Amino acid sequence: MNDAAALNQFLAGVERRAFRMARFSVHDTDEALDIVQDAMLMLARRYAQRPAAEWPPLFFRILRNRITDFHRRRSVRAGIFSLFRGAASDGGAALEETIADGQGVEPEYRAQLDGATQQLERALQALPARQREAFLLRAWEGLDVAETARAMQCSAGSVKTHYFRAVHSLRESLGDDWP
Amino acid sequence: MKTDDHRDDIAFTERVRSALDAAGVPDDVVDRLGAARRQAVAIADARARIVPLPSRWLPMGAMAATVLAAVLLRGPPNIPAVPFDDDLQLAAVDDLDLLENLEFAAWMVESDAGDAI
Repeated sequence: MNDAAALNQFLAGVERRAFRMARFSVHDTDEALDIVQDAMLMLARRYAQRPAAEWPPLFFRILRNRITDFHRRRSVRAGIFSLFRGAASDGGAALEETIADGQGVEPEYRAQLDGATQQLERALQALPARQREAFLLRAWEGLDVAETARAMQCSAGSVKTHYFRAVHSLRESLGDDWP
Repeated sequence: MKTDDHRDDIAFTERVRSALDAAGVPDDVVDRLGAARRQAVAIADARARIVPLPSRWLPMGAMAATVLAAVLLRGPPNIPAVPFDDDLQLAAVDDLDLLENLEFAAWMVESDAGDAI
């Protein structure tokens, strides 16, 4: 298998999960798609020649950096607009509440999900970002602790801590009867 | 018990994974993801086909090195030696001696002739 075919296979395998991970963080389908596309292009441009085994942590690290960039841009925009509105903190809190209530999920997207999955998505969105990343990379993407640490640019110990807390927060918020 | 709790965590994580895998993604999103992937793969493929600059210049460099080595092995070209300044000065001194000798010879001839008279 040549490099292009291997890269195609890798990206095809991760693209939907990457999209949903991005979506959990940015709560917007178009933004999530742009972020995943950027991550794909960056991997292709800079790291396609690297061994295929290195792609998963590299790809998710790029994805994570793109998500961070998105939040940074949004914070700057919110700060600028708040100068005119004079209510930055209230707006930010309202946005977080909307997301936590699951109202941030677009109707066409929500239609794809059953009740249990919607409940799960809300619980995942309510997690702190680092815990959610650690949980999704470890439990869903199947990266080991070292790979997750590389993707998250932190120590293996931090990954274990975030993952442990994420599992227990999710269990607590979803309850024993889920799904 | 801690082991039971750990087992519960694993079972819970499995259920979460199944639920996440089961949840679909809208078709238009799948199409756009596919288009983005094809674009990324095309870029990677195009970059892989570009021969790196060192490789492209390698044959020309090797040829230049071979020519240079051949020239060095043959030794310097046979160029007539140009006399240095010192040599020229020495030659000038030699010429002066010769001139003096000629004068001396002429004097000798004249002297001999005078003696003969």
